[in-house]
Amino acid sequence: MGIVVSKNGGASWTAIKISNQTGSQSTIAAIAPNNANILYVGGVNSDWKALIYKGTNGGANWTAITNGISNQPQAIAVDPQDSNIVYIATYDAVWRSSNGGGAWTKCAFAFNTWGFKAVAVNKSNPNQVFVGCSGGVFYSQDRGLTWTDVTEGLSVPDVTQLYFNSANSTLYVGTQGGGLWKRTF
Amino acid sequence: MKKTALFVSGAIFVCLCGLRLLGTSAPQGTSPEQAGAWTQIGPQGGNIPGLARNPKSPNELYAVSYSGRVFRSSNNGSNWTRTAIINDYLQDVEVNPKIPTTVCVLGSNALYKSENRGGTFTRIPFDTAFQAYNGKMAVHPTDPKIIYVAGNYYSNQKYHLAVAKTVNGGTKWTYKKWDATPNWPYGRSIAICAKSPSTVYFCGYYYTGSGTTARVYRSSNSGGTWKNVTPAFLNGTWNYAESLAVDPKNPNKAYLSCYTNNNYRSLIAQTSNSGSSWTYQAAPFYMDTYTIVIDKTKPGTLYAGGFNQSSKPTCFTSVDGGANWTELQTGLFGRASDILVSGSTIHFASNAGIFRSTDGGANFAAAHKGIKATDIPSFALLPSSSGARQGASGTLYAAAGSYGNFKSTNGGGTWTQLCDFQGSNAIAHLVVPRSDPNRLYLSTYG
Repeated sequence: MGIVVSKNGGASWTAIKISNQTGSQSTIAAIAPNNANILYVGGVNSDWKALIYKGTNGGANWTAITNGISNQPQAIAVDPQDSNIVYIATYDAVWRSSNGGGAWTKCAFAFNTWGFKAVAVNKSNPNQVFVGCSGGVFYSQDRGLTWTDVTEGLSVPDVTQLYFNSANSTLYVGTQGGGLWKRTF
Repeated sequence: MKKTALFVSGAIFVCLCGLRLLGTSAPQGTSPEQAGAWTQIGPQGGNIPGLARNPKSPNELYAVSYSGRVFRSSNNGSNWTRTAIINDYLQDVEVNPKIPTTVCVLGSNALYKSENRGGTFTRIPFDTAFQAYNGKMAVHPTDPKIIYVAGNYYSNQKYHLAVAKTVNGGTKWTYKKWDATPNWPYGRSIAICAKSPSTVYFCGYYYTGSGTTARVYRSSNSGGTWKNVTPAFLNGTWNYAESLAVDPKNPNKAYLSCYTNNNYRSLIAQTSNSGSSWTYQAAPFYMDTYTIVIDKTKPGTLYAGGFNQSSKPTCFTSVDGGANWTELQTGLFGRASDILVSGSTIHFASNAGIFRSTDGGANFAAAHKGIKATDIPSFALLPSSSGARQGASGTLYAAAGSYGNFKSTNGGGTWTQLCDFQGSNAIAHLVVPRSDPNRLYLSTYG
């Protein structure tokens, strides 16, 4: 399991090995917005079980932080002001850590839903966090501690990607079979 | 060219479980852009597995999206209105030839019937063992209560290629199944002869664990009994039977879109003796096709949709009963799923949208205005550098699967297609560096 890194806009790439586990592979990665030397990488082992690593010193050092997450990671987001607050979406859940992956807490939603594929954080106000799943979009105003279903009106709820544009307080949502949607918050 | 599976069974059930219950008759409408309201911003297009024309009002068309949307056009496809949302993965649509206000939509595990031109639908379920993922339906030309559906059936811990049939509009279904397999089979196509509707052809393929086996079956007694008429050159593994068309005036004559592993090529096979023997067009003309239709007014004229040797979406045509073929390629996107022909007007549906030619196929252009059903596996937004809070919608880049990349500089109000992306592999992800917005990185499937 590893990643490739470019420091010159894609002109050249360097491979960095994270794990020696046979058959493991990385699938997603995120750089902490307030500290580019901290990375979080998610992937799976040969049994398609989750592997989560935290990289420091720009990827020179790696620490396994899977710590109880089992399903394949689909998305990672890092708090723009606190690189220890991390969100990971897996198929069955959204996980939150407040200590850089030392421990994970499963986020609670009002109804049973799954297929989580996307996480977005408002860079200007990191209390605002959004997750997207097969059933729609959930919204937190307290850094992921509690969540509200904001799907109503999104008639194609199978979410593939989220992006929050702080400049106009608008959440953009990519869907499977319904194009792009947007909503201001 | 090695074909790939359309789905794996596990993924299908995963997707279904993820569906949230939706209404079945939500009206079309665009919400005003305001706080707390969602706005659908496109780009337009979508995965359109089925098209149908009202036979008594030829400018009225219906289209269904895989994501559960039903659309209607009253001007031959120039504009579309969404008439309903169905909580299912839709596969096909047909208009009742006698009562054209009645529209039937095929879902993955049910038929949906509308008696008000697609406004509202009633769900008519199949036996839970029968599934029609990637299947098609055929409506009897003179007795529309008779409907056949190509799919698969699960029993005794085995999957089977299967046909569902109703003679009373769906009140009761009967099933015919073949070819027990531990893996997911694909009943792909079913076709009725217009002149002799007791003649029905079915095709599909199934996985054996070491490859795919193609099958073609024919019934001459309205589905009472079926005969295996699979072409000999489809024997063995890694063969596919994708689509069928029957000559409307000759039940013994049929055409088959297929792929044979014997010489690694896709082709259109034809039989003139009820499937006893099949021939195919002369090599080396390359056709990787997924749908085939006959011009009902000129049964010697055929259209087949797929990819050419350069993996570009293509509509092929033959005016001599399949002996020779010509490419009609310009302006098409996506993997072909259905074709409508009416004189010199051709509608080509694919997993990118609907494309129309009014000059016999010489040129195609997008004809899905009003259809917002694209798959967006990835998008990127570059915020405006002005720093202004109001109106700082930035630049949106959307990867629309097989339809390529689109750019909007007005918050999704209008979109521009960025490149002539006509490959057979859909875009999986796109990245736009903030430091260099003119640079676009793409990854594709396959």
